[in-house]
Amino acid sequence: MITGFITILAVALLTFFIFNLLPGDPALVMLGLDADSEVLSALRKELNLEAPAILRFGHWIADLASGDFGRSITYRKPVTQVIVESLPPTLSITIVGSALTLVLSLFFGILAFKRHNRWLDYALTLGSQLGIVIPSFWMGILLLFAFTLKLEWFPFGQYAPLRTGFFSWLRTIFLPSLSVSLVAISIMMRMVRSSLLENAREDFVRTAKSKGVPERKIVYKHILKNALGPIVTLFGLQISSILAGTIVIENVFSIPGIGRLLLLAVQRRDLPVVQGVVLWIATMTVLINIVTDFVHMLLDPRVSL
Amino acid sequence: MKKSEKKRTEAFDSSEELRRTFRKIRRHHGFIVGFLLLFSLCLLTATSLLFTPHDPYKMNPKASFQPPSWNHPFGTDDFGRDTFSRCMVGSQTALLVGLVSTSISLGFGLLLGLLAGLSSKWVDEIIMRLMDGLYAFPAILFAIALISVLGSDVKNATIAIGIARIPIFAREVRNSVRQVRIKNFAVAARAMGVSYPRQILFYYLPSILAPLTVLTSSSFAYTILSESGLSYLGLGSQPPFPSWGRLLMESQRFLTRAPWLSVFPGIMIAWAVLAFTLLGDGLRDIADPKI
Repeated sequence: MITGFITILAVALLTFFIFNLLPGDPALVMLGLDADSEVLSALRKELNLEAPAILRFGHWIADLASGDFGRSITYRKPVTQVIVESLPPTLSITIVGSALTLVLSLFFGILAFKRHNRWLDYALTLGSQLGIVIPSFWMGILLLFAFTLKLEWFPFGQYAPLRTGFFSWLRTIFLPSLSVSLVAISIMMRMVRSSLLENAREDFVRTAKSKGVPERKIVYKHILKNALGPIVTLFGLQISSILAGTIVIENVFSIPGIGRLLLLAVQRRDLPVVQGVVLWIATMTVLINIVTDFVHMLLDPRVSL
Repeated sequence: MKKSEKKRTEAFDSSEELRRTFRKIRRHHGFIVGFLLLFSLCLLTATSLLFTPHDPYKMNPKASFQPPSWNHPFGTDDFGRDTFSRCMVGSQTALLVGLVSTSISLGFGLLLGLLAGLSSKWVDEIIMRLMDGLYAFPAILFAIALISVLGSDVKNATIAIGIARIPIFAREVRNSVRQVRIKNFAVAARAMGVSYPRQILFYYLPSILAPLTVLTSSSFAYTILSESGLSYLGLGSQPPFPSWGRLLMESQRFLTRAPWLSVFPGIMIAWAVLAFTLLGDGLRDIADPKI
């Protein structure tokens, strides 16, 4: 817990460094080179650019702690509000993507384990190798071409909130979720397969077999349960990488989430929004890691925090 | 444990170890495939420096949107430029970005890792907590943050991706150094007053070398992926210079009209990433004394 807190502090420090201390004038970046000098100095004053760095960091972190991420320049609203409004699509993609990852990787991983050294195992291993090297946004473009443009099964560039119905919601985010989680599915599948194989060689499996425990029970109760620790840890990492993947994938499908917001903010030089989104994603990554460690500890009594 | 360790160090000096490594390489199909893929990619890149079938920048409106043919294997784009030639030139970006940003992560990771591993507890704590913080930024996010302040440019993207991956190297180096530090030969070296540079060179580096080679290879793969993602967003390579990600971004508008434009640059990315992934996995298996 304490390390998690320190990590978040380090995240804040790095973010502050990038947005406030790097050479370059944030006021100039935001207003453009041909900006009026009076407007520039007014913005500099508003952004508090003239105070010493350490004081500015103090102010900045105090503002953050009270939930004040500054004001967006293009939206003319508090950054917090802008981010919260863009959250639902991103969270939906992350959740559906993570769910797909968990279900499909366990399914295929166990399948490959059961058919070890047979053609299905080879086919799945090869497929997962391809899944790792194919960039998610390219997968997205291909899926977009096949299922949205040609077959017209899915809509393009829309997001339907969950309250409009489960299926219309799922239809708008299914393809992005699938393309963003393909790498995670492949990595997890390989891990599930190899850790099952490793645990299957353990003594307790031989004991269970000689006791006459049925095969199904050995696989799910003994082998899988023991392999679960590292699988959970890897799954936590995959959730954060899916969250990071939404940055690009939302722009492939033109989905109005955090990733789209981030790119638009960079293009419009809306630095407070960029900073807010960067901080939010990095903090979420740390929190996901903490939760993962916690779940790992709950599942495996041999591990302690 | 002790006996096998002794055996291993003896074998390491003799040519027997080398012969064993070569046998392992020969039997590792993944490694060989990865090596061949990388070799052919490098060949393609080297060729593109001297010669491309068509001028990758020359526009020819009459020949726009031609499907793949013998003359244009990957077809032509909206300006009638040859996509194959543009993909060839794009491989220069990919390899250069991979090389430069991996060097940044490797160099600084080694430096910070050694510093953290060899210094007092406090220096170690401060460096490693900062690394934890940096590690919380996915490479692409860190790059976007830097680019939003410094401007979109492939140079900034390369540096940012390199910095974002320093923690991965620093952690590996620091942990190996900590492990070696408590071994008897390292304690003896310190007691004898062996100088720090000599200690690092002859006592610590040999044990870090294998994991670092593996990391370097997989880092190339990750870097090329990140750069293509950034260029796809329009934040990496700038026109007219082609990079695979940028080619995909430009072609998406014509997805229904010229789908081939969206296929080939993606294959190029997958090719490069596959080469480095297979190489990395192969190196890991070959460096593992248990296999």
